[in-house]
Amino acid sequence: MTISSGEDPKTLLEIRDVGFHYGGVWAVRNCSFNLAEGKVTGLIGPNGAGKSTLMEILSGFLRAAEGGIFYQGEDVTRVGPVGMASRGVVRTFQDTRLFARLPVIENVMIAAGDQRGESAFRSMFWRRSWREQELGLRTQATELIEWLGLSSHIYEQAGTLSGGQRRLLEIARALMARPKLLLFDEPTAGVFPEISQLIATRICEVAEQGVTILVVAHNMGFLEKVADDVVVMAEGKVLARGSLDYVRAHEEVVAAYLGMPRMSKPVGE
Amino acid sequence: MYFILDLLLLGCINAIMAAGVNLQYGYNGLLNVANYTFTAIGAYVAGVLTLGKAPQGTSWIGGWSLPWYVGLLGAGVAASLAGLIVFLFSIRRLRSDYLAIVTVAAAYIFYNWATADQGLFDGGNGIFGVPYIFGGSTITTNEYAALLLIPTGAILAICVWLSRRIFRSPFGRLLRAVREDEVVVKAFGRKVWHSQLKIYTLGCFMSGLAGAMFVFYITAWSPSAFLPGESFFILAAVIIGGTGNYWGGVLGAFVVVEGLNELTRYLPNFGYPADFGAGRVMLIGVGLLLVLRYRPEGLFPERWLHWYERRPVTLPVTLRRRPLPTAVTDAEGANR
Amino acid sequence: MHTFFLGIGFGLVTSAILALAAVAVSLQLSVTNFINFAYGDYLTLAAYLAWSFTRAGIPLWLAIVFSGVLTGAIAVIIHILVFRRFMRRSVRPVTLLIAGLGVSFIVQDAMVIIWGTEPQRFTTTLGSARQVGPFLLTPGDMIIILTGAILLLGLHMLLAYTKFGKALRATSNNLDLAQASGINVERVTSITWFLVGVLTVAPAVALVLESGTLDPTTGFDELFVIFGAVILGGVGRPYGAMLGALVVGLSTEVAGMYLNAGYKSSIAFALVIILLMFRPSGLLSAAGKTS
Repeated sequence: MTISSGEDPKTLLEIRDVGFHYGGVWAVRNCSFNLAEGKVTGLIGPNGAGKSTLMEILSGFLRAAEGGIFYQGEDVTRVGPVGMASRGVVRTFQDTRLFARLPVIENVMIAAGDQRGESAFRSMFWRRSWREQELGLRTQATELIEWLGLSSHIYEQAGTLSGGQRRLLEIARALMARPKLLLFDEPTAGVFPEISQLIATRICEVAEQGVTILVVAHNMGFLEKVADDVVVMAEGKVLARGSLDYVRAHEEVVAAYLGMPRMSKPVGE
Repeated sequence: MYFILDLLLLGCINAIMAAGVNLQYGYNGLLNVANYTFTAIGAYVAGVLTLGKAPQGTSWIGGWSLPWYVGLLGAGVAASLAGLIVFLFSIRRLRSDYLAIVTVAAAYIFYNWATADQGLFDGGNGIFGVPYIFGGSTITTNEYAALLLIPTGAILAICVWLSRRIFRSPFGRLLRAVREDEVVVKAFGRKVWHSQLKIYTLGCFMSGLAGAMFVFYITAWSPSAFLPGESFFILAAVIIGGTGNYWGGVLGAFVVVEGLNELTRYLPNFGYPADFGAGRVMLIGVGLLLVLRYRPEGLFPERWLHWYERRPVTLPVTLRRRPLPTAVTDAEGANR
Repeated sequence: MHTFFLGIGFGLVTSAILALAAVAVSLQLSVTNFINFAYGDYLTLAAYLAWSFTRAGIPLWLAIVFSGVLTGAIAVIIHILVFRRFMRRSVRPVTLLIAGLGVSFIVQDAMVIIWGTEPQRFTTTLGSARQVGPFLLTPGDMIIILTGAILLLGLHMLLAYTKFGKALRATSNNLDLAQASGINVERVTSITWFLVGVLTVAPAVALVLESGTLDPTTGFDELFVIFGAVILGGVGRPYGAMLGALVVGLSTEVAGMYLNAGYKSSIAFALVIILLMFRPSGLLSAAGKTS
């Protein structure tokens, strides 16, 4: 949760009537909601509701067939992943995509933008121009890795990490990119409760710094800790929006989840 | 004596090629299935630049009798231009096999063109009589081979040095990340094809240089010298030696050369397809399979650990006490 | 016009040969999901085996049958010894490609050891070229075209109407789903390799009869044109491969009649590339493949 500041938060992201179809099947249709700056918003819904598709659209990997996306007032519907990333939109992936054969520290360092050493010429002939920046980045990356509890694995290949550690690494990598909008796709799926707790704490702390966050999750206990409010999607549309309690009691939401386990706190949390 | 010199020299030349291919495949995952064609282009260009006018009954372009270093540079430039064209052709497609098929197509097209067009490089006969780069006509082949080791070794050293520099830089890191997962790299704002293009052309440049040294040594070059199969030996060399490691390609080239260990073997096969004697190529095949299965990183694996662990970053005491990383707090980049 | 039809005639022969090989490759590709660089050497091997059998006095048609069975068996053995080990450990596709390269080295060198590098003559006396409609074909050509058509038809019926054919199509479409449905994917794969080996004899013998000579690199020389036809047709789609082969074969031969014949393979490749630029997933769209 973010600490409320008293002023009206600005809208960072506006999703207007967005639609997308896979060969005739509409995964998302007439989907609209806004994200306020600095808030953490949960995105929930039954499987097939279109949440992942929406994430892909927001990060620029898919282009909406209908409707528009407005980021900081700018129309970014046609912008691809590279463009979205340069605007400070960073995402994690549902199936933790890492650079398996690279060490953890390199996985994090890649994320930083504007690295002078990435020019071919400078890398070969002009080391002085990027050495200092590189050391600075290493320091930052090392801090982030420590902050997420991965220090003991810092020089190990990312492929050797466990599921929970991979999630943590993805978060470290996402933060290294100095995001303004963070899109988390199921950051606690398949993760032990202790690590899930750590992730929740860290996400809250990040939000306190002013980063806007959208979290797709199924774990209600987790959402209770991090989300200020929640958007419920089903069949490609927004079904409801509000606090977690409000949404849990909402008739239509319950109906949409019919057949799925009741939305209560998981045992043990 | 000549045998050893010959072995060393051709090993070095193959190592230069391997360095180029390693940059493309080892660092960036771009499989160059026709790398020998770029070498051939380099050889031809170096040849026609340093040769004089074609004598009666033959014909080739160029023939301006330029100094050898111009020929060398021309070879590199020509090969990297060819690489640029090939790469640009495949850029719109997302499948990685498209680059492979475009490369192969370019190889066949060039081979056809070089064979059929008499005016270009004298067709099937090829160019010949490329002048020695040292010593003129008074020198023996032994002495020439020995002398040639110097520039060849120097070029090899420079190529390895450049590879090392790239590896230890953010550029190298970016290349390797693209190799692992191109999608994620895009998700973090990098235009992937930029870096791929750069490394591809650089690799081709090195192959071109190797071609130049080939032609300076053999003093002739023709289409039979670059049959499609040759490229695969270099690939095998890079994979066995160690992809991603800048010494790996060199080692692999010498291993493959040693493995073939006979004069007619690693010389470009003039005339009829190579006389693969007594299972030597089979040995390479078996070696390749064994490496793939039991040591996929190659004999010399990637060694970034060495670099990072040797200079670990220790957090200053003040930072250790702070709970939040500075990276997140500042949106303006004041940490630079 | 005469030249054009001559070209079509040659093109049909080339296409028939190419189509058989391309379909075999496409079948294997669709089931195993990697491009086998050693396929050219399978072609050469099949041709050498057939040749050896004829040298031993066996009539051609029987030699082809024996060679087919033997090549099929070898293909399966190679799969078990090499490819399957990698596939079981779920490696990246590039690794299998390189493994194919290793196999190619081994097979090609083995052939050199057994049969030497000298080109062998492989001919049959079936009569000279005759006018068939607007085309000029030798009896050999006609047999090739006919055999090709029959084999392809037979394959089509196998794929469409038999239980095995259905299993194969399921496996190539979605491996996990096929496995979950109770299909013994490993057995399907092995049988597919056998089929590929058997199928390979036809284009191999046809190729060698066309050119008259056989040496260890004969098949390898055709490898990339075959891949071109396969990719043009749409990766992993045997029917597409037939179409791709037809397109490549016909247009190269026709173009070759008007342009310098030495450029034929360049034309083939240029064509593949240009067509792929407009239809990146191949001539038959790749919709429906879910793996």
